[in-house]
Amino acid sequence: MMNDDAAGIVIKGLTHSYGLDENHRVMALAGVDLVIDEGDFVVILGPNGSGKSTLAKHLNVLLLPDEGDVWVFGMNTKDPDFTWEIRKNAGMVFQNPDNQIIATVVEEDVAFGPENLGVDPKEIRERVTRALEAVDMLEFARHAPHYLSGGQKQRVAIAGILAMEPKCIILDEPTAMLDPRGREEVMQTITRLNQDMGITVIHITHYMDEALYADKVVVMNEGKIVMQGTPRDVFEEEELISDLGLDVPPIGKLSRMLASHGVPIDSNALSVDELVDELCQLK
Amino acid sequence: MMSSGAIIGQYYPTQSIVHSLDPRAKILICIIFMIVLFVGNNFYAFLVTGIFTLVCVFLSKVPLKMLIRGLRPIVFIMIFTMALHIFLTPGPTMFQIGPLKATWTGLMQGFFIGLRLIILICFTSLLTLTTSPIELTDGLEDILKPLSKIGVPAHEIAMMMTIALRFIPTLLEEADRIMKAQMSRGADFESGNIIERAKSLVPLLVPLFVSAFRRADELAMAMEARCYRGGEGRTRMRELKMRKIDFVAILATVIMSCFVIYTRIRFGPVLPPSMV
Amino acid sequence: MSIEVKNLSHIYMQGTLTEAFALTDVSFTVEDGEFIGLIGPTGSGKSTLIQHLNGLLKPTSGTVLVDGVDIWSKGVSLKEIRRKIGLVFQYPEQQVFEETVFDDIAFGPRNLGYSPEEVERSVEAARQVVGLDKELLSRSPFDLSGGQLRRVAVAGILAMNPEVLVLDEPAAGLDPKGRKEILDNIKKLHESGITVILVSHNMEDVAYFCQRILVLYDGTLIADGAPREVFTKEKLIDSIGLKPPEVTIVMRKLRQRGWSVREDVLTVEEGFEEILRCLGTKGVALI
Repeated sequence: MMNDDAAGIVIKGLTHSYGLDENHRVMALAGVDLVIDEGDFVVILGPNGSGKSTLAKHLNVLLLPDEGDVWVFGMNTKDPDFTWEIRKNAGMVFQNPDNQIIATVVEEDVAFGPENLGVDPKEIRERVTRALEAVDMLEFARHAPHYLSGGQKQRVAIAGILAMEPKCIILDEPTAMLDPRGREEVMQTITRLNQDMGITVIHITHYMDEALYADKVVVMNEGKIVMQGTPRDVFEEEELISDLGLDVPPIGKLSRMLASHGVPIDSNALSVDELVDELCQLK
Repeated sequence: MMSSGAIIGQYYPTQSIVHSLDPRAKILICIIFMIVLFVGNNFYAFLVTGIFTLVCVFLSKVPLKMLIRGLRPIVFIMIFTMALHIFLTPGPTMFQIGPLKATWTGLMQGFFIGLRLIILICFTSLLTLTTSPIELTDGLEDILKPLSKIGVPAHEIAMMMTIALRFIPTLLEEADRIMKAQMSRGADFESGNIIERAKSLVPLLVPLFVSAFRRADELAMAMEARCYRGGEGRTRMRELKMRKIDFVAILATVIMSCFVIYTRIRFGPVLPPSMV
Repeated sequence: MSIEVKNLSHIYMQGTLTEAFALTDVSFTVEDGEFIGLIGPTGSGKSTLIQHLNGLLKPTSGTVLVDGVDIWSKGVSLKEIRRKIGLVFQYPEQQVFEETVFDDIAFGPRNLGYSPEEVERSVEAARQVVGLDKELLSRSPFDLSGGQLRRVAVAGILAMNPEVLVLDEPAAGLDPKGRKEILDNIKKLHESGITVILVSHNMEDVAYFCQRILVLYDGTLIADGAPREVFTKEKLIDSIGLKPPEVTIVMRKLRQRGWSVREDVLTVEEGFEEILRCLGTKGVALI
C-alpha cells in the first residue's frame, strides 16, 4: 500500500466520527484533503472543536480513517505493518506538558522513545545529548521535570520526539497552556528545528500570531479545511477569519485599517517590523 | 499539609559508598536483611542487626536525625503493638489495671517487637534514601526479570512505579489547588464530625479522579506516540553493572545472616516461643 | 468595598522545594469599582498574592484589610470573606464535580446556607450573566464543551454574589471567540458595579480592559499605575521579560525612526488615529 506520490504527507477524503452509537455520532472530520511537502512549516488554525486535533492524531496512527486515506512519507496509516515506522518518523507533541513526560529525570524521559525503538544504549546516550542540545535544555539533563517551567517542559517533550530522529514533528496546541515567554521559547525552538534541521513541522494552535511563522497556514472549521495558503493570503480574508471566531493579529488589523483609509502601504503587513518599514518608506 | 514527615520513598542525594552500590545489590541485601530480621529471635540477633544497620547508616552519610524523624509516623502503631503484647502475653504479673494484666514476659516481647519494627523501617528507608527512584525501578525490573518466565510482569511493575513516582507530586499539587478552589466556594474541610468530613471530601475527590483519569488517558496516548509497546525489544540507556564492592556488600550481609541463624540454633529463643 | 494589602510578605513552608515562591513587602489598595490588571512573569507570586486576598493563605507578615478589618483577626468569618471576594482559579472547570450543572453552580450558595429559593435565584442570575443556556442546567457538567464548562465554573463563583471578583487567567486555553466572550462577560460585570482583579498574560487584554495595572516581579510589586504609564516604562517592562501590546511596540519603533507619535498608545484604534494624525502633519498624500 505504498503511495507513489513521494510528498511528505498526503491526506485524501479523510472522514472521522466519534460517538457511542449510530444515533449520536459527531463528525470530527468531514472530508479532508491536504498535501504537506517535506520540509514545510505548516500551521493549522481553527476554533475549538474544528477537528484540528483529530486530524493530528490521524498523522500519528493514533486514529484510523472512517473513510479516505492518510499517507505519511508514502506509508498508508491503515497498513498495520507501517504503524511504528510512521510513529517514529512523524513524532507528536501534545498540549499538556505534564501529561506526556513519563520519567522523573529529564534525560531519562528523552531516552524513552529510542529505548522503545531498541536503539543501542551508547547511541541512545548520544541521541539524548544531541536532542537536549537542539532544544537548549542540556543543562537541565539531570533535573526533575516537575520543577521546570511550562516552556521548559514542552522543550523536553520536543527533545523526547527528536531523539527518535523523526522527519516530521506534529505539535498539537503545544503553546495553549504556556505563558508568553514559554510560547516564545517553544516557537523559537520549532522554527529552528524546521530551518536548521529541515524537519517538517505541523503546528496546531489558536494563537493567530503563531501563524506568522508558517510557510503555509491551513484553516479548519467544522471538520473541513476552509482556507489554505501563506499567512498573508489567509489573513487577507479578514471577514471570513472573524466569521470563524478567529482573529486577525492586531498589526494585521492596523495595516488594513490604514490601507483602507488611503495610506499607501501594503494592507497585508502582519508583523511589527513589516508595518514599521512600510510606514517609514512613506517619508 | 502535604509533608507529614514520612521519609519512605524520599531520596537523599549525596555521594557515599552506599549510594554508589548497584541498586540490584541493594535490593537483594534488603530482602536478605528482612528475612534475617524475622529469623533472629534472641538478644544477640537484635544486637547484630542493629549494629549492621548503624554501620550502613554511617557509611551512607544520611543523617541519623533524618531516619529518626522518619520513624514519627509509625510511633502510634509501635505503641499500640507494644501495649497489646504487654497486656496479652501470659506470664508473671508486672501490674494490673482492672481485668488487664501486664506481664514481664509481655514487656520483653513488646520491647523486641518494637525494636524489630524500628530496625526494619530504618533499613528499608535507607534503601530509598540512597537509591534514586530510577535506579530503584531499573534494579527491580532486572531482579524480577527471571520471574517473568513464570508470568510476573517485571517490566510492567517497573513502569508503573516510574509513572507513579512521576505523578505523585503533580497530583498532590493538583489536590491542593482543587481544595483551595472549593474553599473559595465556601467548602469546609476542617470542621464537623467524621461523616460530615468524609462527605466534604467529595468535592475534592471527584475532580481529582476525573483529572487523574484524563491524565492517564493522555499519558497512554503520548507513550504510544513515542512507540511504546511493552517491554519486548526495549533497550535501556543506563545499563547496570555489578562491581566488586557490590559483591563485598552482599557477602557481608550473608556473613551477618549466618551469624544470626547460628545464634538462633545455638541459643534458641531468649524469649518465650509464642513470640517467634 | 475596599481591600488594603499592607506590607504583605509570604514565605512558603521552609524545607520544601517551593520555598522560592514568596512575596516581599507588597502594599496596595483596591478601591470599590476598580478594574485592575495583575501582571508578571510565571513564578512572580501572582497566584500567591491573590490567594491572600480571600484568606486561602495566611501572610507570614503584614496584613490584608477588607473594609478596614484584618481578615485574620478574631471574629472574622473567612467564609464570608470568601463570599465577598470571589476567586476564580486558573482552569476552573477542573473543580466541577456535581451531577448536574445546576447543582455545581449551587455548591457555593448552599455552603453559605442560602434557602432553596435563594439558591435558585442566585443560580439563575449567575447563569444569565455568563450566558449559559437554561436547558444545560439539568445536564451533567461532564457532557459540556470546554468553553461551556469554563462558564459553569465562573457562574459557580458569581452565584455567591461576590463584591470583588478575582480571576486567574480566565481565558487560558480558549480560542479567540471563547476568549472574547468571557472577557466581555467580565467587562459587563464590572459595569454592573463589581470590582474586578484580572490576572493575565495577555497584554492586549490588560491594556484594553483595565484602568490600573499592578506589576509583580520576583515577589515584589514593581509598578502600580494606569496602563499607559506602566507600558511606556520601556526599560522596566523589558527587564522583566514582559511585552507591551504590539501596537505600543510599533509606536516605540516609529519614534526611534524619528516619528513624533505618542508613545502611550495601547489599542489598534488609537494606533490608527495616531499614525493618521502624524502622517497628516508630515503631509503624506493619502490616496
